[in-house]
Parts: sequence; C-alpha cells; structure tokens
Amino acid sequence: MTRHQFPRMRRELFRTNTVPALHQGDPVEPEGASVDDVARPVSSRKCTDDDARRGSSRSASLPPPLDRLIPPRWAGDYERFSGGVARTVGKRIRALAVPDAEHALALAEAGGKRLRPALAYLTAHLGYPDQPRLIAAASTVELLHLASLMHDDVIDDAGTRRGQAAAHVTLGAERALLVGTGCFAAAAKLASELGNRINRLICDGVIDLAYGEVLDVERSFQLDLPIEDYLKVMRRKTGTLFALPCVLGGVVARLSPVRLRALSRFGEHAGIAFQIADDCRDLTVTDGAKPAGTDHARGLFGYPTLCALRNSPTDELQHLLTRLNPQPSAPEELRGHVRAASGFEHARDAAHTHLNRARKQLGECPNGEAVAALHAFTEWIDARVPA
Amino acid sequence: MTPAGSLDTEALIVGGGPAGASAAITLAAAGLAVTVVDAGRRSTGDAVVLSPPALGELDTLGVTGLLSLIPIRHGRFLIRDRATVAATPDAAAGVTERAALLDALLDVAAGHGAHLVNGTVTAIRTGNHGAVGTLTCPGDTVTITARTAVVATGRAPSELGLPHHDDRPGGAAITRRFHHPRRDDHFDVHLPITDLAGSTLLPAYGWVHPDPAGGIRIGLGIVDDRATGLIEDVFDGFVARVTGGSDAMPRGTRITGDLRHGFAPHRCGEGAVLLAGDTAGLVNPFTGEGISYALESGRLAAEAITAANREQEPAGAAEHYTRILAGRYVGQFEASRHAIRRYHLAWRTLDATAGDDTPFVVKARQAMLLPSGLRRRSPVQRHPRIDPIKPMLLACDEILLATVRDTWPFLARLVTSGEGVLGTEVRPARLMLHAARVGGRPVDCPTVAAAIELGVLAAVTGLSVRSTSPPAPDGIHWGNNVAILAADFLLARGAALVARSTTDLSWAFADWLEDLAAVRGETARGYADPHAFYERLFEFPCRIGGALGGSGVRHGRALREFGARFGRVIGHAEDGAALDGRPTRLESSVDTLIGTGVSAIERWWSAIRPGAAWPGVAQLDPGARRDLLAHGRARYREARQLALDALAPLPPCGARESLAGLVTVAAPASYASPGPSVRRE
Repeated sequence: MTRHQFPRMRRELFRTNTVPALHQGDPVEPEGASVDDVARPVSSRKCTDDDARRGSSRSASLPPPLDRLIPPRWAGDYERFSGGVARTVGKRIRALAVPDAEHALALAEAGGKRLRPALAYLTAHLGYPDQPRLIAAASTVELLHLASLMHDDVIDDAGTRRGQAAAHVTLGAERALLVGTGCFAAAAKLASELGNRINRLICDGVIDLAYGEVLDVERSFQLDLPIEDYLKVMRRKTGTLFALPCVLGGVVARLSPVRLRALSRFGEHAGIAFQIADDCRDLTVTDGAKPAGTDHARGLFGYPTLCALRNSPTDELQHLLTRLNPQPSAPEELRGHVRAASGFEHARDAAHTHLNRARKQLGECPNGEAVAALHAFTEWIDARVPA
Repeated sequence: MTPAGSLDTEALIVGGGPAGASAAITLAAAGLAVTVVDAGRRSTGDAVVLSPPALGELDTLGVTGLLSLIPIRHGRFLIRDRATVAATPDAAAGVTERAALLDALLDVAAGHGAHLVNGTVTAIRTGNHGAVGTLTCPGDTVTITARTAVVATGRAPSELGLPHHDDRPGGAAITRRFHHPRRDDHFDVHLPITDLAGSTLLPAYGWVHPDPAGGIRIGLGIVDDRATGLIEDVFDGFVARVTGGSDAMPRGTRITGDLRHGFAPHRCGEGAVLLAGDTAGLVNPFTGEGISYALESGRLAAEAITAANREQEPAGAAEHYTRILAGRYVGQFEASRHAIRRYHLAWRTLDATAGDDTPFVVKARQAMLLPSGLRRRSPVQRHPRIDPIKPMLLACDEILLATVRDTWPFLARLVTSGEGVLGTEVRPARLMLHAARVGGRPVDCPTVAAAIELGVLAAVTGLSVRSTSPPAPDGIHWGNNVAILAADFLLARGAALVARSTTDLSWAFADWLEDLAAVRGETARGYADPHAFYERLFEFPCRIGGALGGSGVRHGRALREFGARFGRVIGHAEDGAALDGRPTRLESSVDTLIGTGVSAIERWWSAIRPGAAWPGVAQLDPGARRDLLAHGRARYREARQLALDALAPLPPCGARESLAGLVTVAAPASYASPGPSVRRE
C-alpha cells in the first residue's frame, strides 16, 4: 500500500479500552531536559585522544565507568540527558497496563552501568543531536535492555540481578515473562513515535537480538562449538544491543551513511569484546552480580572455555563440564583447566582483535571529544578482561 | 534406432526403491516413456512400517492391493516411556516386508509400461539435451540419455558424480528381528534415547513393531554423525530396555544403513536431474520416517516433469519441483551443522515436556513427530462460499513462510500448516481481511495479516510458559525456555513486518502486545475474565481491518465489538469441545485450559452448582457433566447471538456475510444446535 492510499490514522482509533489514559502516544514528548538546558556542549578539540586514553580527565560526579568515558566538561549535560532517559523509562513503565510492572521499574532504578544510553549520547555528539529525540531513542534501547534482562533471567533461572532478587523469583516465570513483554511493548511504542527510520532500525535490532537468544540456547552444552559459530551468536546476542544505540545516536545527529555503518560495526565489535570479557569473568570474578561458573552450569561455555576445549590434550575439561551440570561447585577446578590450556590467553587475544577492529571504525569519524570517549570505552572493555 | 552402446528415453529413473518406483508409476501412467534402472536386491528380511500418509500414497499408486499387511492399530510416541502423542491419530497403518513392497511397486510400474533395466547407473550429469548417464549392466557399459532423470538410489548424490554438497549421511540406523512372546498390533516410537551411562541425551529414537516374519522388530536411529560410533552399544541397551532383558532371542541379522536427513529443496533439482526420497535427504530426523516422504517426493518429481512437458519446457521441471518441495516440506528437514544443534534443543524440549499438554508444546510435538504434521482433522466444516480474500490469504502465508523459514524453520511448519494457528476458518488473518472489506476501500495488506498471525502465535506460545512446571533432570526448564524464545522471536518478526509495510500501525501493534500481556498478567494474578484473552486476540484483527479498509467511526466500533464478541464465541467453543472430549484448537485438555486461565468451565460450574467447589474434570459424574455441557451450550449460543448482533450496524455486504459465516463455523453444527441433553431440561 502506498502512503497516499493510506492517510495517517488517528491513534485514537487504535486505542484499546484497557490502557489507562496516562499518555496519548504523542510523537516524542520532551520528557528530558527542556530545550534551553540541552545546548550542545561547545565543541572543543582541547581534549585529545591521548588524554582520554590515559584517563587523565574524569567526570567526578558520574558513576564508574562513565566518569572515565564522558568528558568532564560534558558531565552536567550528560547528567541532564541521563536523567531524561531515566524519567522517560520510568514514565513508560509506569504507563504500562501490565500488572507487576513495578518490578521492571525497580530493575530500571537499581542502576546497572547504563552503558548503552552513554553510547548513544557519545555517537550523537559526533554531530548535532536534537536532545529530546536523543533521549527518546536512548530510552527505547534501555527499555529493550530491561525486557531482555527479564526474559534472560527466566531462561537462565538467575537468582539475582543488579543486586536484587530477580523478578521471576518473586513473580514466577509467567508473570516475569509478561512484565518483560510489557517492556518490549513500551519500547516498540516509543520507537514507533520516532519515525519510520528509527522504528525500522529498532525492529531489525530486536529481530537480531531475539534470534541471537535462540541460537545461544540451541548451542548450549555443545563442547565442540566452532569459534566462528560462537562469534556469530554473540554478534547478535550482545553485539546488537551495543550497535543499536551507536547507530541511533548517529541517526539522531544526522550522520552520513558511511559513519553510521562504521558506528554499527564499532558497536558490534565492542559488544563481542565485552562478551568475551564477561565470559572470562564468569570463571574468575565473583563480584556478587552472579556466582562464578553460572553460565557454564547452564551449558553456555564461554570463549576461553571453548578455546581450552580445542587445545586441551586430555578429556578432563570435557568431563568436568558435563559433570558440572548437576553440581555447579567446581569453578576453581574449571578455571585451572582453562588456564592450563591457555584459554584465557586466547580470549584476551580475541578481545584485543575485536577492540582494534572497533577502534579502526572510529577512523571514519572526525577526531574530537566524542571519538576520544569512544576510544576510552574500548579501553574500559580491555581493562575488564581479567589478566 | 539408437546407435549400439547407447539408450534413449524420455524419463530415466535411477533406483527402483519407493521414491523411484513412485516416480516411474506416475510418469508411465501419464504416458511417458520411462526407464527404471535398478540393481536388484538381496532379500535382507527387513520390514517397514507404512504410516497412514504412506498408505495413502500407495493407494494412489494402486499398490495396496498387492501387499499383505500386518495391521498396526496403535501407534504411540513414548517419551520417557510415557505415551504422549498418538502416532496414527486417525487412520490405519501396517507393517510389510521391505522386499515385498519393492517388488509390488516395480510390478505396478512395469504394468504401466515402464521399462525395467537391471544394472547400475554409475554417473549422471546434465548434458545439452537433458540428462546423460553411464549405465553399467552385467558385461556391458552403455550411455543412457533422457530428457529428465530422477535419482532415487537412496545414497549420496555425489556417488553419481552430481555436484558435491555437504552430503555425508546425517546418521545411522540399525534394526533386527527378535523372537518375543509379545504379539500385539502396537507400533511404539521411543524418545529420547540416552547413552549407556544413562546421563547424556542422544539425538536418537528407537522403535518396536511386530514383524511380518513373526516376533518383533526393534530398531534404533541416531541422527548425529558424531554419535553413530555408539550405535551398536546403544542398540543393545535399547533392546534390553524394551524387552526387559532376558526373553528376547535375536532372529535374523542386524541390518544397518545410513540415515540421510540433510534435505534442502534447492539442491533437489539442478538441470535435468531431480533427487527424490533418501537421496534428497527426506527422512524425518525425529522418527526416521522416510517411506511416505519417498513415495510423495517421487510422485511430486513425476508431476513436475509431466507439467514441464505439458508446457513444452522440459528444462523447467527442476525449478517446478524445487518450488513444490520448498512449500511442502518447509521446516521439517534441514541440513547443516546448525540443524544438529536445533535437533539437540528439540530433543531436550521433547524430553522435558513429556507430560505437558499446553498448546505450544502439543502443536510443536505434533509438527515434529507426525508424518502428517498438523495437517489433520479439521474441527470445523468448511465454509462453502467462494472466498474473495483467498489470494491475500495465500500472500499472507507466503510472507509468514519467508519470515521464519531461514531462521527457525520449525516455526515455519507451525505457522503454515495450511490451517493457520487456530484452524483455517477462524484464523485472525481471515478475520482481518474480511473486516477490511467492510469499508469498501481496496486494501492489499497481506503483510499486516501475517504480522497479526505471528502475534497470535506468540500469544498462544506464551500460554505454555508455566511457573510451576518441573524442570528437566538437568535443572533447566527447556519447555519454558523454548516457549519464551519462540514467543519473543515471533513478536520481533511481527513488529518488524508492520514497521516495514505499514508503519502507521506500529504503535497499535505494540499496544496490542501490551494489552495481551496485561490480560495474561491479570489472569496469572487470578483477576481476569477467562475469555478476555480470546476477546483481545480477535478484537485487534477486526479493529485493524476496519481501519485499513476505511470504515468510519460507527462501523469501526461495530467491527471492534464484533471481534471481541467473536473471541468469546471461540472461547466457549474451546471449552465445550474440551469438555466433550473433542479436539480443541489449542490442542488442550480441560485441566490445561483451566490451568492456563483461558477456560470459563469453572464459572459454568459455579453457575449450575452454586457454592460447590470445582471437583476437577476426572471427578465429574455423568449427570454433572451433562448439566455442565448443557450450560456451556447455552452460553455458547448466547455468545454466538451477541456476535451476530454486533454485525447489525454494518451495511449488508459480502464481508458482513463472511464474518457471520465465521461465527457459525466456530463450533460444529452438532454443538451449536440444541442437543438432546438440552431438550431434556
């Protein structure tokens, strides 16, 4: 159907009876800061790449790791942006007709690193973004992230998330699933208010994300998963939620197609590196977020483990991984085997490779504070890979 | 007039097994000059089970009369030794000796005038004027040319020098006859099979059936070529398990063979050479069923050839054939190492959901296991009128297929089973397309219809997520997880279809998802009206249809009201069918419908027995059941009348008639009319 055959329909016609009249679905409410206080930070070239990489400049008021990423002079502006995202996300979740939505709200307010909105903010500042649109676009990504976290926690049977009991522990699988679906619906609504282009980008991202989740469960417990297959899964599962905010920020700032493509690849490679770092941390770091070895007990063998399985001269690691399943108490032993078969070294190399590819993409963008900050972001991922 | 050392024919069939013979009979009956090259065979004493679809094909070929069949009256799938799906839901099956079946097929082919040649084709390729093969007969080698060739040797196409794809056998099978006191007419398929330690699930299945030569035949198939080394040991373990150890005496030899299940439609027709049967990789990886697919694909190849000949374009046969195959076998078979991962997941899910009869699980199980898939009984009679929306419905199905075929083929099987998600007549797409006709504006919106179908399938899939279902022995809720993944995947696809085709509807689509999630959430907390789910499910297609078709405010409101009331009609029809023991659209029992929160039966109960607690369907005495059914029928008739009344504001038109027609086919006429139990009241 062509557009002139199909005049824009009044949303009123589509409203269901149950939705409380909290919001009318008007195109993009400027829920963040008012236009006055969102003047773009004065573009300055004083902060060089090297400064950012050394971490010499920090935005003291921002929580880590954002204090290293956001240039200090932008901190105030960033806080207004981030407050706008938090308000939009909160407002959209509160407007949901789905019961138990307060669990999504609690999850949203519990913090997390908020990397994805930050990425959108940084890529948007490669150009001249419209702040309300940027806030709305970043909020869709945050809502999608929340939806995927809630569904992931049901699938992984995770007990805690962001330091709290996961929603499904209190609600049960079905109700937690529905809250997650509600968040997805909220994201889709917000996306539809941002125009065709952004809407399509977000929908395509969601397809990749959902398919990545399918592939990840399909490959569970496969000991001889080829590394290239693993990377394909992770490009979708983790890469998408990094690439999407990068591209959305760029679209809001009206960057050229070449730069958008570069930003998409930047996000994907950074996402894969982030995932590899996470895989390593599943075996080594117990930071309270989740007990070590959780992924491995679910058959989701990470990058270092898959490499170690290929290099390992004995079958011990294989036996350990199949035995681990009923009694997930052997992360130390597992770590030892992976280390002995130089799994961590391979993982570190792979993370470096992907981070370098990500950095290379930044060559398409004009040098400046935003690019320096994106470089700092890759450095931060690099530092996450356990030594 | 062919030069010495060469042979020319219209159609060359390589291999005289079920697929080759089926093609030969169909072609010869159509009047083509057919040559069948077959090496003949040693009698191995093997027996084959003929499923209802296979018997149907044999009947079409005129072969059934020549066979002596041991009847199979009960076919079962035993998952962890629990019967879950009837393997032969509505028709008879039988066992016969493999050699007898093949002889009968070739006899019929010869009877139709096919020329049988005893020999082997060692190479075949597409030449300038058709297929060119090298035929090796005892003491002679000749060149054989044909306009088209069908290769059905049952072995890898690369053995004949055809383009080499990844055509290693996907697995192996083994069978043996045993002397056993058990003499019954059961055909049991056991899933899943574990390794000898009993801890690791293997992508394998076992089967047991009576043997024509007496005793029973036990078989085992493994569909992962990395695990086929274990097959002898696993087979021994399986034999011990089904026979109870001691009283089974082996008779005859072990018969082993490759399982070729790497089907990919585009590889089955290149140039003048078509592949059929096992050579095409058409073996169900979950049950080993291959005969019905062999017979069917042979016939389809023959039909493609005759159609191409009729159009004077013999070269078009390959394209024709691959297109038919793609439509017919979508999602059932797959090649690639990725497919093996899918099978592992499917196995775990089958295993973990053995006792589950929620809609998605049941539909998925049937789609995977039954040779006829979901193409089975239709709970409603067909709507006789000529259907003005048919072209758009077909377009909608094509979009559905294209959307999920490459990424999750198994779901493609679910969404395009020819019946939609909930049965042909009451598909939401149909409702939407009829509603769109009301406004009079010409509408071409199969994409939106497809998105709505995906949304409905996602909602039905979500019904299978339970908070209480017990996890599998490995501690993972495979059933829940697959349902969640499938629902998310379908929603993502649906939302993207809308965004790409009719962006203005994106917001409404998202709003519908929120609404469905809200209704389910209320149900989970015990607040919602049980039929509200159906109400929301069907209101949306009518609303969107009305808006797309340009209906005004008044008609639009009437269509929405109709959609909601239509949903309640479906709800009452489902409850009544479940209570009556008839098949339901959601494939669920009364207990499951109640447990899922989409059944009003408990409310019916408190209406007829105020104050009494719902005793559970098993504890209903016949009198109470009769009363309950009568009450349900009355509610159903009320709902039906309300739905028809909702159409009153619409102008008299074909679309209104069609919508009214959908209401009348929501339940069988016998249910809708006042039944005997009602008249007794």
